Amino acid sequence: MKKRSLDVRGLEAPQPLERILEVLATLQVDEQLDVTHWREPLLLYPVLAEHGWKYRAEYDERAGTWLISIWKDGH
Amino acid sequence: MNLAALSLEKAPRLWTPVRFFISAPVFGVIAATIVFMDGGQLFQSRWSSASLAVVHAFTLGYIAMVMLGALFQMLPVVMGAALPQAGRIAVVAHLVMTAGTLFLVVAFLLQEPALFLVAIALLVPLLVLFGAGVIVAIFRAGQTLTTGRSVQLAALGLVVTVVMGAWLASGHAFAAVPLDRSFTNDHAAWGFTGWILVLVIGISGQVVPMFLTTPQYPKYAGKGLVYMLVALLCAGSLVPLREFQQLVVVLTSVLMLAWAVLTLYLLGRRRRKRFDITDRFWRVGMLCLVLGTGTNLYAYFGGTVAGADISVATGIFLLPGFAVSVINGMLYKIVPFLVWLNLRVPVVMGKLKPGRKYYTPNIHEVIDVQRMKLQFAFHVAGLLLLVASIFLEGITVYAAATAVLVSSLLLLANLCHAVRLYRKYARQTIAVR
Repeated sequence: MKKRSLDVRGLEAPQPLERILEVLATLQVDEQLDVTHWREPLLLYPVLAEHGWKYRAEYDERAGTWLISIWKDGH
Repeated sequence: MNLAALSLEKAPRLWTPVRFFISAPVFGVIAATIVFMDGGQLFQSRWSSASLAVVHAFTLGYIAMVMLGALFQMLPVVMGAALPQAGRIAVVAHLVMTAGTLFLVVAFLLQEPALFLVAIALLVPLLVLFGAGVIVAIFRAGQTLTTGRSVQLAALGLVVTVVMGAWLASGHAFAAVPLDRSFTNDHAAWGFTGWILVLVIGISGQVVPMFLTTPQYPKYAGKGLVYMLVALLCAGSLVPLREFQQLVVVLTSVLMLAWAVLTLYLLGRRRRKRFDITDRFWRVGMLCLVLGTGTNLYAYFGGTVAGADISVATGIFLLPGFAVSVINGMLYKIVPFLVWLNLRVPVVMGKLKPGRKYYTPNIHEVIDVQRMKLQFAFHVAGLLLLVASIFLEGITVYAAATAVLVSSLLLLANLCHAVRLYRKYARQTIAVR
């Protein structure tokens, strides 16, 4: 699966969510988006579930960042 | 078919919390009306029927109402598919909460045992089940929720407060149950520190840096602080030694002051310095937390000012001053954000007619900043006049009630404006779906 990455650290809300949504709109089924975020984007999850996206979120304690991987259902 | 209503039902992320949010200023109106009708007696004693009615209009009708709405929005996210009916449960919970609070407020005003009984029957099962539900949901979700532990402890604080409150209300409802006034201090301490403050501290670690571009809170100002506050609260309630309880009150006050000062310091170091109404509301809130902690300590050790009941000032500083200010400020971030999100998602996700341009209002356009500034001015005037009413009678009391009334009505109008804006743009997009 091809990977695309997006760093939204330091952006004022709602810009992180807007950037993520904009990349998702162009993401192909064989692609995965890796987002680096200061916080866990809890409000994004129901949107992902509603539109058939799968995700995995991990917290990197040392860096103090969240890594959220998003891909299309079916993989 | 009413397209507007349909589109709102289709946006549970918006409507589930918004029905609670819009009810909050209505209870602000009710509180102001009671102050008007009472004419100032309630400023002389925390025990008067009118003061108890006003306190519960704020704590249940305003503060808990908004917090329930916000948590109802997050619960399905945390629980995933385990709670598919969250939207419907929220509708029932909102009705029960509204009716139960109204019954309790009127019960205090009329001192009518039957009304206390109805209030207990409505509020206790709702709030205990809700608190337990939040605790279980977060345990099931594991470690994914960063503020989870604080929210769990706040939910525990809510349950303890409600059980204590039910016991006190039973004292009003049944002749056989003694009305133990000294127990009220524990009920108030758990309600303010264990439920409201713990929840505000828990969520500020997330929302203040995110919405106000401040530096992050240091790690010890999150979970560690919350654990200490809850431990002190438990110790104070369980150990009935006077000197020990004095120590608990002093230590709790030091922690509260330190957190308020830290938050003011962080707000002073925002990366973007442009005017932000939420920043102003939070500064007022923190200042009131400092003042309320101070007057509480002063009154606890027997201090008086001009013979007045200073605990009334503590109540004003901590409830409409601190809790209502931070919640009001946060509503001006959350509601525009939810309106924007629910309009933006279908556009970005390509669910609409291809090739056609759709306009999503900017998040800062959802509620006009001048309208928010006007409401803020009435809110601050209301706080100043409420405190002044402790010492001055007559016109000051009616001016205070008017300011609280206007502030609540303006907040209601601003929130309704946001919902109308959502409906206007949602109608444009829903028509071509």
